[in-house]
Amino acid sequence: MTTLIESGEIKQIIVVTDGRSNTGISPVEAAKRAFDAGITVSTIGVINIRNSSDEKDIEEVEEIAKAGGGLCDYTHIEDLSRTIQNLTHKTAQRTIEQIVSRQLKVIIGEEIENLEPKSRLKIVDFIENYGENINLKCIVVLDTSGSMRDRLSIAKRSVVELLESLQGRKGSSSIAVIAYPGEEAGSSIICGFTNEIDTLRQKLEALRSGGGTPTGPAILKACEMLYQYYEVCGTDISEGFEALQHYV
Amino acid sequence: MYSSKYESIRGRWSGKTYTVLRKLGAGGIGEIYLVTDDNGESFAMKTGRDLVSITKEYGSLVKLGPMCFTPKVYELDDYEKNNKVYHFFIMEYIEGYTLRDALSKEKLTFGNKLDIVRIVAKVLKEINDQGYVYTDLKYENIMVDKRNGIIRLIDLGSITPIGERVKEYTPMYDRSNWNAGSRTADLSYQVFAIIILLVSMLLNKDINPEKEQLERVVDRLRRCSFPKDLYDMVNGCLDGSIADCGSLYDRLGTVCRCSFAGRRLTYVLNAVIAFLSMLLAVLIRTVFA
Repeated sequence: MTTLIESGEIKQIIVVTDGRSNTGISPVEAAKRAFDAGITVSTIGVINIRNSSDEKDIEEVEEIAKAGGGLCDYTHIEDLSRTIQNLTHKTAQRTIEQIVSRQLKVIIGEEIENLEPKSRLKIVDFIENYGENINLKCIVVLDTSGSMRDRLSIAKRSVVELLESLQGRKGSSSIAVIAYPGEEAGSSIICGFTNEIDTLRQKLEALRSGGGTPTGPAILKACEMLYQYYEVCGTDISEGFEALQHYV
Repeated sequence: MYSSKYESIRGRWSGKTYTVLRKLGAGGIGEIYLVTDDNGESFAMKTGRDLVSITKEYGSLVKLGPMCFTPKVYELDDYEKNNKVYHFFIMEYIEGYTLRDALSKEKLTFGNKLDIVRIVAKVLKEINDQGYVYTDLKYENIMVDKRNGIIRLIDLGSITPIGERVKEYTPMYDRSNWNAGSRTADLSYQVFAIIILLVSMLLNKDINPEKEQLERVVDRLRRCSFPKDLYDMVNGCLDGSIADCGSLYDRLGTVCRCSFAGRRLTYVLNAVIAFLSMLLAVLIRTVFA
C-alpha cells in the first residue's frame, strides 16, 4: 500500500460477473494477492433473472471484494452503468479512507472509527476532496462467459460511460479492460490503459462472449498489467511488486 | 437489513438508546428506520456501514440545517452489532408521503402540478444559493409533510458543490443520460432535473432515456394541449436558456397565471354562451307562442 502514496495514484480492479468462477486459481485468493500488492478489488454481481443466482454465487462475489479490500454491489444489467460508476468512486474513497486511517494511527494512535463522530467531518471532507484529485488507474475485469452473451452490449456501454464519468474528476483517470474467458491464460487484454473514449469504444467493439468463467486468473492478469505499467513508467513499485511476486 | 423490529440500539458515543419500530426505506448508502428514544419521541435514523457516506450526509444536513425544507438533524454516532460497527445519524421524522405516493393516490390538476414543481424550484434555488446542487432529485425524495403542510426534501446524500462531478443521480432526471449535456453539478443540471420531473408529472408516467429520445417526449407533451407558454418554458429548460432555478421559478409563475387567466376566460365565455342560449330559447318560445 505504501506504493500508492508514493506514486500518488489509486489502483483498482472492478470485477463484473454474473456467475461463479469455475476454472483456474480461486478468485478470492487472487483478490487477496492483489490487495497485498496495493491494488483494491471490488466486485459487481449482475443479477441473472433467467438462471437465478444461487447463494454460492453471491458468497463468492462478496468474498472476492472482502479479500480485495474493496466493496461489493449487485445490480440488474439495466442499471450496470450507474452501479459501476458509483462503485468505482466508492472504492477510491475506501482506499483513501484505509490509508488515512492508517496514517492517523501512526500520528495520533487512533483509527478514524475511534474518533468522536463529529471530529470525523473534516477528515471525510479531506477524503472526498483527495479522492477527486488523486490520479486513478482502473481495470475493469469483465465476465464475458456464455451467460453474459445477451448483456454484453450494455456492459460495453457501461464501461465507456465509466470513462466519460471519470473524465469529470480533477485528477487524471485511465481505464483498461480485461475480458475473461480469453485466448491466453484464461483472459485477454481488450484495451490497455487509455483515457480516450474513442480508443476504448473501438477496442470494446471487438469483444465477443462465450466459454467458462475463470475469474481468478483474470484478476491476476489485471495485477500483472498494473505493475507492468508502473515498470514502464519508471515509478518506484518495488514494494508492491515484491508482494505480488511473492505469490505469483 | 441492519436492524430488526423492537431491537434496541445504543449509541457508542452519546450513550442514548433508541428502539427500532419499522423500516422507512433504503437509499444508496444505507437504510432508514423509524425509532423512538427513551421519552417515546419519534425520530428517523439513517444507518449504514460506510463511514464516509453517512458522515458526509450528516455534514450536508448540518450545513443546510437552518432551512425549513430539510429534516432537522441531531446526533451522529456508531453502534455495534454482531461484531460489526454501524454508523448512524438521528434526524427529524417527517410524517407524510412522498410525491410518488401523492401522485398514485390523488388526482392532481394541472395547476396543482405546476404549484408543486414551483415550490421544488424555490427549495432547490435556496440550496443552489448556498453553493450546492441537489443531484438526486426524484419523486421518492420529495416529501409532503402532513403535519406542517409543506414540501420537504429527504436524502441529502447527493448534495454536491457547484461545478463538481455528479456522483449520485437517477437516470430519468440525469441530463447526461438524455445526451443533453455533461454530468456536472451546475445550475442548469438542476433545472434540467426539475423540468423532467414536471414533464413526467404532466404525462402521468415515468420516462426512460434508454427507450425514448427527448424530442419524442416533448412531442408527446405537445399533443396534450397544454398552454403554449408551458412548451416554451420546457424547451427553454432543455436547451439551457432557462439556466437557473430562480428564472425557472419566475417562468413557472407566469405559466400558472396564464393558465389561470386562460381558465377564467373559458369560464366567462361558457357563461356568456349559456346566457345567450337561454335568451335564444326564451325568444323562440315568445315568437312561437
